[in-house]
Amino acid sequence: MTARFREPHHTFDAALLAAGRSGDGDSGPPAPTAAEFLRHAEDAAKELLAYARRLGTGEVGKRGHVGGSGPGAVPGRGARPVEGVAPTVGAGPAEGGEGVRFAVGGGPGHEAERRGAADDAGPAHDAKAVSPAGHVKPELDAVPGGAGMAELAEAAGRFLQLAAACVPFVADAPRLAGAVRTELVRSLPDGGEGDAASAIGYPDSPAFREMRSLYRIAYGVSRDPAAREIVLELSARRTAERLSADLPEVWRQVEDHIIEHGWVRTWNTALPPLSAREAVQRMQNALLRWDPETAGVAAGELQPGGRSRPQPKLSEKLQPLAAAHRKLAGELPFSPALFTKARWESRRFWQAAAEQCGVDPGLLPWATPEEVLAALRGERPLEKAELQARQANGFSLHAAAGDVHAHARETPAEPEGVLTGQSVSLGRAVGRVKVVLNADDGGKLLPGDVLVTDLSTPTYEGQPSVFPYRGIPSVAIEKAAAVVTDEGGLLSHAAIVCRESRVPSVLGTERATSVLRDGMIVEVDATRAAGRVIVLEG
Amino acid sequence: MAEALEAPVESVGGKAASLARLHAADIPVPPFFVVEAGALRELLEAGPGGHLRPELASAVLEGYHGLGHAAVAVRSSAAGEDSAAASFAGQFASILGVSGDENLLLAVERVCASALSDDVEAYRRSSGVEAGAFAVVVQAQIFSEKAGVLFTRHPLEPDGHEGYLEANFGTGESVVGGMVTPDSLTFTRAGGKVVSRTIGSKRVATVVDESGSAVIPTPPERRELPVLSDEEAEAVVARGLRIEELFSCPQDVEWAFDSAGLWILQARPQTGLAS
Repeated sequence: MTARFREPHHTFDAALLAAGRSGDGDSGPPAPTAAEFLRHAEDAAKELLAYARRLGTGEVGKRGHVGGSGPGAVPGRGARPVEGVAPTVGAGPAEGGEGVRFAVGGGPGHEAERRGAADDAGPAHDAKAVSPAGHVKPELDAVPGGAGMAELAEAAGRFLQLAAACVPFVADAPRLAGAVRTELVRSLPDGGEGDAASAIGYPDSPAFREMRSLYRIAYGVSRDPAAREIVLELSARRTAERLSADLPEVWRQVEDHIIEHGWVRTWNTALPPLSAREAVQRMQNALLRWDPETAGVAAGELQPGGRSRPQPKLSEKLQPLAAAHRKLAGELPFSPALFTKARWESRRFWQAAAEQCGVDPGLLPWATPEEVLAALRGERPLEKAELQARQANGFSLHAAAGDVHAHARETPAEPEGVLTGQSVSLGRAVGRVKVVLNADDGGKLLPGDVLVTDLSTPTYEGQPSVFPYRGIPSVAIEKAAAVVTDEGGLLSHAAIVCRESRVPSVLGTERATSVLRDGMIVEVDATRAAGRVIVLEG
Repeated sequence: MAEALEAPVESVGGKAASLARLHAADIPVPPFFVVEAGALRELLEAGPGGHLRPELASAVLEGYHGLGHAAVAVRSSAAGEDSAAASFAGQFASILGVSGDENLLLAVERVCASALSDDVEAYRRSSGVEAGAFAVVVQAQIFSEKAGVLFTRHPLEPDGHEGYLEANFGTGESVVGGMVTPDSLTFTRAGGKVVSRTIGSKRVATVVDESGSAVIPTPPERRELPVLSDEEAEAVVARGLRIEELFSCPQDVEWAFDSAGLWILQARPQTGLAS
């Protein structure tokens, strides 16, 4: 299957464009059609994810036994424990232990909690926040002696093999998406970029789905007075406790959200997965500032009032092309998010593997597949100091004699896709970037968007720009998920307005307007004085 | 100024009332006079593009000539503008470096027109502040060499023990407008000792002279220099803390140094402390 797609890229372009013009199944070059490409890619992705899930639940391994409910499992939703979410009462260490071959205490989720706790207020306080009263955190068994290195190595090898099978799709998809988009734009009546975007639709990416899902819960809460009161009037920790005790339905939605989407932001960043406390905090941030209608728009449940533009309708011929574009540009099978998700699904397996290799599980992703396999096979141990240096400083890859080697950089570098600045209004938010540089741009800001602007351009009178400004109604600031600027200090008008509106904001990034583009999904982390803006999807 | 001290906030607005109190407490503020809200009501009701009545215009010019300063800053002073709940930060226009009779009248009219903008209306509605009286302050222009803003409580940790100050070369408009990442420092609220300092990138500065105001780039070698000396920083901090004591609530203070020394341009309650 993979060999077939290791062909010159232009054959894909030609095939896709041919498919778009004349529909699928037309006779054409022997290269795969768009439909075939998508199907094979999805198959490869499904296979990887299914295997990852089996690894994660301990199903794969010695004797290949399937465990009914592993420790920490959430009944009725598959055996996928979520760190940071209280498991249902009674899920104890002893239950169903037989099925869990690789599970050990902790897991990447635990690691995440530890990191989160160290970063935030107080560790004990934090741990409680995500494990509300009386609930038991998953305490997993030690690796059973039976699941030895050989089994681990074999399973890891299989996982990496399946991952490698997805690589051609991952590599080709962005290129294909670009070709399809060019063709679509050319075929539209006016060919205007803005119209094209609304006609084709944005790719329905994992990060965007995460956002909409969370805002949907917030929207539901905004219409339920009892839930609204709990979410608004208490700390995130208290809210989590009370939701789990008093409104299990809402709490279950938060749990589900984390199971489905919690991994998203770990892709391309050094961030731990979303915790329940953070999810609750983000809901609070939104609900404190939004009326139900705004929350509805952000959740995608309501149309923005008076803002919906007539959308150019696509011809029947173009519709399949648009659908292909959405998939190519955003869908899981094609993005690096696939590997992130696979790693998340199988995190308990990798936890066990890390244990066997004698390193902290957080370090494992910084080793190459070859290094992991060699360590599991007992050929060459992992070098802890080197992995730590790679984690802290980044690394470079070198190919020599057919092998790829990773080397830690000597000096720390800012991870790509991360901007730093000063938090001027505390909070955390995820949203879609809208860059506003002049008065005509102001209207495009929708609820839940991240306003990105420079602040540094004076008005025509040589006065500093007033904020909000440039055609942005000040109410739009309140509905923004977050504000990010190139310049500006803690005492600027912009900072004051953001604090009054409780919009999480990072100012003074120096390069936000040159790095960020409309449509990117970013996380704005203004929880500490040193604020960060992380590109989740570009 | 004596009159402003007597006049109620409803007729002179928050900014003028606070300037009058500072002056009465012997804190140096630039000489100023107020065009009262009652006098401007007609102009505001006429909508944008209106002109001052001749009697009012001559009264304004009389006040201007009485200041004895050719260049002035024209600023809004609205009731509710500087309340502790909502600062109206930057919602109304301020016009700096105005000189000449005709320019002054135009500037007063323009500042009034800013009260009618949609943005101001929207901000007022969303912050729940009633549309109140709108007065205008005409203040002698300080040709500042360095300037900035001081909050007597750190805005991110309002319950802590520190205050926060930002500074840039030129006038304070670059700091207020967020046009630069300024120098900043934190200080102890008890004792006014400087705790930490950072040098900002401050790529530009806003400057003002008799010909008006402008934004100019700051030469790279100057950007790395601290705006304030240790003594200057301590002087501003001490002044800020004294103002908080005077008003008995946390203050948002705009300050400036010119060749004559330290001036306080305005002081208002610090917002965003509720939570």
